Amino acid sequence: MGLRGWLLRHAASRPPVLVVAGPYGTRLRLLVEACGWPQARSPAAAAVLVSCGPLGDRLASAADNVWNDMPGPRARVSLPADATAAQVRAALEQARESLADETAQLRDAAEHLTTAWHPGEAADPTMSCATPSEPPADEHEPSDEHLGGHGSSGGHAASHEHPGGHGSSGGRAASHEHSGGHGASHEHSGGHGASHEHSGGGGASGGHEGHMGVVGGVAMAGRGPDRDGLMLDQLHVPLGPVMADWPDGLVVETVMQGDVIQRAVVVTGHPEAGRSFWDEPWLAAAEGEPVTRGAAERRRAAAHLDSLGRLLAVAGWPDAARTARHLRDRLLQSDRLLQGDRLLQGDRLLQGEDRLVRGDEDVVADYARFARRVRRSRVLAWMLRGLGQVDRDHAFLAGDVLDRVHRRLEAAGDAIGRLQDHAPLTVDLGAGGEDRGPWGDGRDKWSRVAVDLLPGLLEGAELAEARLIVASLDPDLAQLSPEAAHG
Amino acid sequence: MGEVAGLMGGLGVLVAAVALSERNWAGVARGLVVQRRRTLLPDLLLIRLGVVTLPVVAVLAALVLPVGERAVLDLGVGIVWFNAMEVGAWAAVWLAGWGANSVFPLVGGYRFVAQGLAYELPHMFALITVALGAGSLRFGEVVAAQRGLWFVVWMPVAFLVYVISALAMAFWGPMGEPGGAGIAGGVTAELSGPDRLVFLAGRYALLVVAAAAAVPLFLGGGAGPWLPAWAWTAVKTVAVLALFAGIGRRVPAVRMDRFMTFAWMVLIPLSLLQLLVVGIVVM
Amino acid sequence: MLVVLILLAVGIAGVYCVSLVVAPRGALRAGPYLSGARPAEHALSRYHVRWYAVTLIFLAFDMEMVFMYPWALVVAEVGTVAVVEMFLFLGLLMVGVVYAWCEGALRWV
Repeated sequence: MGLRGWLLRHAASRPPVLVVAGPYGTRLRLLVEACGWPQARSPAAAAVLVSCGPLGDRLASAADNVWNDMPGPRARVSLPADATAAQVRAALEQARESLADETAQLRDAAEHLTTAWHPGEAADPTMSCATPSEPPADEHEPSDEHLGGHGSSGGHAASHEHPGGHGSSGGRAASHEHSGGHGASHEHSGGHGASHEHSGGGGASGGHEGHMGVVGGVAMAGRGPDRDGLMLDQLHVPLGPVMADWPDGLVVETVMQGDVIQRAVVVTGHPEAGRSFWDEPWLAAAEGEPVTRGAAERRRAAAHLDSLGRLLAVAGWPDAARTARHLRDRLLQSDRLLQGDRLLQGDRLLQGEDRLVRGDEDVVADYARFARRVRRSRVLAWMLRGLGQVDRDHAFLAGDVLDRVHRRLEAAGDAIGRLQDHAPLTVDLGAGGEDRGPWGDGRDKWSRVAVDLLPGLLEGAELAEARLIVASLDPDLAQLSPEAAHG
Repeated sequence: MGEVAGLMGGLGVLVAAVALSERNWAGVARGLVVQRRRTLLPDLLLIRLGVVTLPVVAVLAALVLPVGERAVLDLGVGIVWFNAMEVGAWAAVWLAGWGANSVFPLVGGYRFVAQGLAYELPHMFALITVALGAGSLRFGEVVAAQRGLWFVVWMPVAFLVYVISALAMAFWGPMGEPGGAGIAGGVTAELSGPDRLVFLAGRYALLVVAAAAAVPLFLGGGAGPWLPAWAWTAVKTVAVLALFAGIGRRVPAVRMDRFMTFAWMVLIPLSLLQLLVVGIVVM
Repeated sequence: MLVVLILLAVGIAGVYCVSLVVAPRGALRAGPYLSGARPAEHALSRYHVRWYAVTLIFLAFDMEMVFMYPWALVVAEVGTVAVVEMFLFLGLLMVGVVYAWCEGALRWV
């Protein structure tokens, strides 16, 4: 074992992890995060890619792209949907071992060179995976109607939407079509390199000379009018699905000029149905299983702490974000559903409650300290006030980002105060009226509202503000699933 | 020779300590063994230039700081030199951000330039206040001028402004938005391997040097009972770093779209007022 | 000074050399990070710098700082006149900044 092996083992001691989770991957994501490995922010910095449960088409191709862009030593973990906490820990340990495996990593690194991403072919409109109805991309005036850009490759093009129609009517219309239906997305991911002998090199590959502005297989930025009537370069920047501190499975396709979002379209696609992790106690109670109110409140508090952790991380306050997530994990420790022992639900859930009374007292005190700290931060208030203004009709979402933070703090505090409520939970799915938990079959579910509000709120926002706005709304896409909608 | 050993040794130990406090040792090992990686058509020359410039300007700025009794480079215009070198970070960060041909580093690079526009003037006023108080631009004489009273005591506003600008210059903690979590690590998003290591080390070095410079500027340099001057310099530098760490834990990130107005309409007038007070006292 | 720079150069070169020896051969070609998507166009573009007005005010102030360093050295000798003149000048500049602020030059979005 030489220097390389020694370094590999040390590098594997705390490998940065990039987690890919869809709308139904929440439970697994929480289990992965509870292991405490550092979170990577980009593929360049990531050593482990963890996919949580089965991924939809778009998410799978995004995960493949990210995996393809990660330099070795690297390890990939695919968790099955029903993995238990112990299985998740074991899978991560296995990844750690494989990271330290010198021969395997060297082999992977050598092979990876041949399968690396290769932009050439996708820039050619005739080979583009875009929808047939799309006219060939004209590099002089890129077609603005397609937020997905013209002639982008693979997974990106597979989810082409036609947002906002041709009048750019605010982008709120037609934004919820299920994506991934074009089928073209499957052949993508890494296979391209093999079919093209030349590796692109520095210049435009042959055959693309006819298209001005295509360099190295990718077009140069086109221009578009900005809000002041200037013509400025614009970039197509998708936010999500594979992004740290971002709602599970959400994709917002944006057109940016500088770091200002000109247009935003929300793409929510999930081919398979499932149930929201955060709604589980209510759904279980509705199905007649015995669930205590305390168990539901525990889940509610954890949900708000999860959202707060995201927001605080995006707000550049890692210390507070860590506290929020730690509190969340402590709350969920006694949550049998999270740990994956699904057969034990029912009355065992109640027993789990009773055993953890003592630990919960600490949580109450620690949460109070955390909430006080966040409420008192003047800098946080200064930075969040006035962002993402939502009008009063949307009760839980109303106000600016700061209002929503305070409301979440309050809601989580209330929920933590009710942890000891052992009364059975009775749920009328038709009634609604709560911020977490299912909202019946109406159209006014808050996740749906949040997703509908997003494009309007993001337009004109700076990237940092956009991240804060999304994190403050933090829609739970699993609530949009057909199953949740129909009760 | 003793100064060189002291400077490089001290800098090395402190940079390592900062990295350790952020639990980045595994990252160091990974940076060394990781496969080289390039984004689509990057400007490698600019990236390398930016990456290498960051530690270089940090060390160049540190040359004029007294390590114990004397500095490695005892310039008569030491404060101007320090100021000029540390501004090199603007170029370094922007080049590294631009070169990757990727959106998030690009945004991060521009964020740092905007940050520079906000912090640099208050920062320079703070430095000039110190020079005015000492009547000299030489670090040694600035330290000598504090025999009676440390500048931090009668120039508190200048010290406060200096602390803010030191964090901004090293884009660390609350001023870390150019490398922020919201833009996937910003300037560092596409850096991997030795590039990442050198760039992050350069950033830590900048933070350490900014902390170390506060010692001769405001905290009486190596003056103190019992211990030799170099030891006091080290102790005070660590104390300033601890102050930085405390701020980093307590304060969320500051965005320039809000901070810019504050910097120009509050920080600059305040530091001018401080300058006026010191000017009147000196007269 | 030269010794310090040589040491620094050796250190940086050392990191790159170790990496060259230890890391797997070849450079991986990766796409820019776009949350898992592939780029529609190159990121390098004419960036929308919304704070360009600030850069101009900054330049005006920054030029003036060049005078302040020597000024700081002679205040004690020259006395009141130096302070009064400098702060008149700074006051004028601040008036300019306040005007720019009123015009919204320091506001962003």
